[in-house]
Amino acid sequence: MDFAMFIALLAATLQLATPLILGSLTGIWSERSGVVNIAIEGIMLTGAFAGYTVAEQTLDVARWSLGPIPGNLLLGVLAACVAGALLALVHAFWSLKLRTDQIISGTALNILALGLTAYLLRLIYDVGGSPKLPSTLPPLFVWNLTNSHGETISAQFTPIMLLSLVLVVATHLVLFHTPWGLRTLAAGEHPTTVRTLGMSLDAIRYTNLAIGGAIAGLAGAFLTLEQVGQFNENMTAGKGFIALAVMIFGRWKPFYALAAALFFGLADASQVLLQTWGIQIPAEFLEMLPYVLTLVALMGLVGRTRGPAAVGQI
Amino acid sequence: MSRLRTLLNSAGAVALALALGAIVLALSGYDVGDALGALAQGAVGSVNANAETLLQTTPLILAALAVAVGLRGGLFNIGVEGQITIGGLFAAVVGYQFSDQPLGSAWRLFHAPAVPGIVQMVLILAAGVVGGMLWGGLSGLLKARFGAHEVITTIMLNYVAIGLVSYLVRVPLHGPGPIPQTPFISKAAHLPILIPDTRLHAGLLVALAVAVGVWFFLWKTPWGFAVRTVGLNPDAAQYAGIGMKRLVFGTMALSGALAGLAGAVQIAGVDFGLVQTGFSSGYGYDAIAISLLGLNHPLGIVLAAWLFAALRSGAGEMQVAAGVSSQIISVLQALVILMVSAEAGLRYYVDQRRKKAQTVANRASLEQAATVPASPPAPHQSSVAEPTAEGPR
Repeated sequence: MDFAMFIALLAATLQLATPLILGSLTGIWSERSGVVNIAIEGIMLTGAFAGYTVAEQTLDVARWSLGPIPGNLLLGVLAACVAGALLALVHAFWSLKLRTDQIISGTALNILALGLTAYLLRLIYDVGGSPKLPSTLPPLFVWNLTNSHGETISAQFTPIMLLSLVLVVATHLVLFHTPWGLRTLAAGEHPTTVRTLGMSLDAIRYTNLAIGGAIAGLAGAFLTLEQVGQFNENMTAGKGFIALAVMIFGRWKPFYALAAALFFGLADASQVLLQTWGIQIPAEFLEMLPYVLTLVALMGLVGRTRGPAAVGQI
Repeated sequence: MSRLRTLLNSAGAVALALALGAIVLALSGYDVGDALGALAQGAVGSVNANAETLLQTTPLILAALAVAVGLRGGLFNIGVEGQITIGGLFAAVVGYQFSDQPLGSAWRLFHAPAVPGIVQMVLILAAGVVGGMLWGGLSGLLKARFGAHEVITTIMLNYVAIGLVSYLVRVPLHGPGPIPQTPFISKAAHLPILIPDTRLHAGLLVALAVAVGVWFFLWKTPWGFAVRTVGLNPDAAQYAGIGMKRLVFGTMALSGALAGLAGAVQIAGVDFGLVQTGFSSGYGYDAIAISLLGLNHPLGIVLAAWLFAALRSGAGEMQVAAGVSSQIISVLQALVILMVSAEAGLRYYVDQRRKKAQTVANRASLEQAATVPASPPAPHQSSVAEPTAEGPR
């Protein structure tokens, strides 16, 4: 493998890892403040749908653009984040105010998101499905490289892909180096302390869930507005659940979660690589590779994990 | 009495969820009466509709029991989907060995004599149980031996199961004919039909019997007591000398076995062979919702499974007759869960307000007692301690 190949693999890895990075950050924001969030999948799907629909409906209205980014796509990304935050707040309301078991509330929202997006897709766009957007979010920079065969390989770095890395750093800084982060950690580890200090536990948790929801919404926007350009039923296809695994794998820490997500992305990307090299392994086994590798890694390396102490308690 | 109240309140919450669903339909521009009429017609409108609903109920009961056993033991088994698939695989592979039809390129594991149908049925169901037990037990083993979180391992094993079945059915288990699916089991092994001219089979009775069995196991045996103790308070369980590792493994294996049985029942009762995509009906995820809605109790699960099955089987009729996309059913199911849980939450506040009022009244009488020294002081009502809800993780 030469340098060009390596960079291309890296870009592919990051691209496949982006929804997982963002999804795991969603989990970290909410679970670190003490709320179990298995609704990541549903929030992501809702964000994907809201982002696509707004971008598609404002295609003729928002003709302006911000730098290289068309206005309608920008509106779409915003809508995805808002929709994600709103759904996360529903989760917060049900689990904190109505005292529902947080797993129940999360499961219900996953089912709701799956059903409602498919239902609305049919209602708005009928059986034909969603029309493809004329453009997706353009790469912020393209790295053109020449490999050993003299062919040009270009690695593209798109906005949300890069933003996900920024958000990893931001999450780390906020959680571990600001007063707000300390309050969040206290809410997740020892909620009574927060109450004793006269702070509102609910305010901390609602805010963190909304932030996390917006991030998962962004992951949805990545799928529809940056990768595919249209919305398909159940297009997250379990990425939210894998993100949950990534979060646990990454021990509820942003940088560890990033590493775990990249590990997944790499296993996914090398599957494509092996196929292009013509190595004869049945496709199904290659598709299983990331999951099997995770299981093996769990056995050897990082099996024992411990979440925030007060997660799930209200 | 309080159980009756819970049941009535749940029924009210379900009605509220349906009303919200009706509002969604009205906002979408459908004729609500037509749509809900078609839904009811499709779910319970005829003998056949009822039979189809009960047919759908069967795997949902078993799968939800699998989730419930896990949750009672403090383990969140998201892997029911994968365990059903592996259970179905084992059942199909054992089942077709007895078939006298050509097997195509599918592996023949043993030459079976023409054994009676009932023996075949038992072997098929047992194979499903073993398959599910292996797949669930693997997660349990990874947790007990390496401390790997069961939520991760069950999710991962779901994908592995789907990939494995997809490959096996495409290549070594490919039956005759162009479609990638296993050879069919023999006619003699089909579970008997309960109502003539419908598809409803005896698997329903199996599921109901297993529900009673799970209830008996959890509440009437020492092992079930141990499982529930670990679920309610792992520290107390450890202190009481319960072998946590063995219990974690056992609970996951049992949970997987129930899920595997669900897969086997589908093979022996409805599908008779396994296609490349497994069952792909999302039973595993519905099962989580049903178990939670049924309060992780077998009786509640049977009722909730019927409700979800009724919605599922009514959806087709609603799509055909009223033109409503069947996806609305998922919305209804989610609303049902949200409303039922919201109702429980509201009841908490009502109870708390009542207790608060009682405290105030007690305090008033206490003050009154203080002004009249002769009367004995009223018992002091301590303020209500906040209950803590511990999630399974």
